[in-house]
Amino acid sequence: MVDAYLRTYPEMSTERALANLYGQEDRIRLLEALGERGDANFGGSWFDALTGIEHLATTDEALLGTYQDLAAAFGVEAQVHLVTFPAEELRVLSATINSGLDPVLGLLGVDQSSVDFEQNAVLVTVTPVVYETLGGAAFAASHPSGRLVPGTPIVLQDDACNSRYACGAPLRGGVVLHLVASSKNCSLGYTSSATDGSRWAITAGHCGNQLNFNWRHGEQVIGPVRQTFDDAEVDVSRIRIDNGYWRQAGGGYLYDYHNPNTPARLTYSITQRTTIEINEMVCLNAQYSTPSYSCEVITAAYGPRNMPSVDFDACPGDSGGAWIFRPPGGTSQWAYGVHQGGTSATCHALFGYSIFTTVPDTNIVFPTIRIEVRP
Amino acid sequence: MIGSGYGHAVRAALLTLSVVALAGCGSTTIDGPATAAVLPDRDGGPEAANSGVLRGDPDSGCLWLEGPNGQREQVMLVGDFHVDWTPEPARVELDGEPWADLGEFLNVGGGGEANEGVAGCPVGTSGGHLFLIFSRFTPPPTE
Repeated sequence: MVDAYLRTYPEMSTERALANLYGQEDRIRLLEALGERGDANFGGSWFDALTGIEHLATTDEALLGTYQDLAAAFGVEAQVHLVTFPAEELRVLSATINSGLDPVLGLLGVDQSSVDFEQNAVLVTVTPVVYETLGGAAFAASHPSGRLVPGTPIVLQDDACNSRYACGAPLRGGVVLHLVASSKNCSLGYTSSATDGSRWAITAGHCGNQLNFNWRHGEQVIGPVRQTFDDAEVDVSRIRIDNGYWRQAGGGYLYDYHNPNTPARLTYSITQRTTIEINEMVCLNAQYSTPSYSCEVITAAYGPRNMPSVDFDACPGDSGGAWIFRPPGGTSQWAYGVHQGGTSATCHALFGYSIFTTVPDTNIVFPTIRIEVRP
Repeated sequence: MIGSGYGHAVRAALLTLSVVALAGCGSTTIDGPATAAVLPDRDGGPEAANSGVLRGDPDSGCLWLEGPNGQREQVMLVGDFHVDWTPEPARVELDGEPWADLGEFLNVGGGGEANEGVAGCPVGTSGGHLFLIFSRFTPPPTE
């Protein structure tokens, strides 16, 4: 790991790299605590690897002292900054631009945006011609927190995805997850992100109930389980996406059975538990899902464990997979929940049932993260 | 690993004798290795998957799955299971019917849960967690 620092920062001393590594856990705990506060005025954070100083930003002057004290409590050397735009506002603008929905940039913005918390801005890479055409200053006028950067637009090249078992980045719901150094496996439901920039993989709680154990897809490790619930109507875990291979590839995707090399966009996520009602159709995107075996109707909004029950017999290994709704002929896909279980003695039998943890219930137990979507 | 040959036969005979002796003393249970790795049945079942060669220890009655790289993970069975350690190989029965032989490769469904495991088992728990087996299954075709 020291080598990794020195490759990125050749000017860094070995002592500095070691200090950064030994201090990372304290910084993680600090950021987790900040995330749990859920401050709407949080302005983001960044770590200066060359100085070893953590930087915390807020739009509320009254919070500067609070953040400084919190950092000290975790033993983290930090500087606090008063900024104009909250982190959530920057994240939403960047997501809008990246998804091609910005009214000025349109498709020119797809996958070209990033949040720079140090500059308290959303940076968008465009060609020099586009930069001249749109006018950097004019763009900034309509996007106070946005800045155009002339350069070579990024061309994201997804890795090959051959199956649910070997699917290159981006990480997408419905692929198989393996516990590292074990034969235990489940399915990925969704990817999620937090306002502090961390990204998460969501699966079932009974899959990832061993905290800090690492999970992988294919040969690429994802990261450790950091939080898990398996009680009553909630059975979910969140795995922190630490591996840059997955983290940098973006989220909001599902596995597409018909066209594995092109990830399907997850476009929306339900937010209300009452949206789930009997006799509506839902489909499972998980390890053993196929076009013939994936969709059935909801038989009870509140079934076993108070979870929604579906007239569908899923298979062992489907736990954690994504329950979604896809309108016929449409391109949208709605996230409904995370597969829990059901008639585990059978698999794709005529009679059987499935139950799942709903997205709204997941949002309650994981209040600082939200499922990534691409509207 | 389960014992084999003479040693195993002696242990099985001793087990049988001890059960008979207990029964003679008024005990009506055959608790011990036969059900040490068994938990009461539950409604429904989680659907994580696991696989490996089923192994066990007749002395403690614990079971584990052995993966392709030799990794071992203690497991417990949920439902009306019973392990008969007398035959070679030992046999797991469900509702009185043969379910699996030790040494057999299994695909199983279930989920992880905090559990201290079976005392005296040569395979420890994984961070205080076990994989609970609810079912055995054959992976379906993926079309």
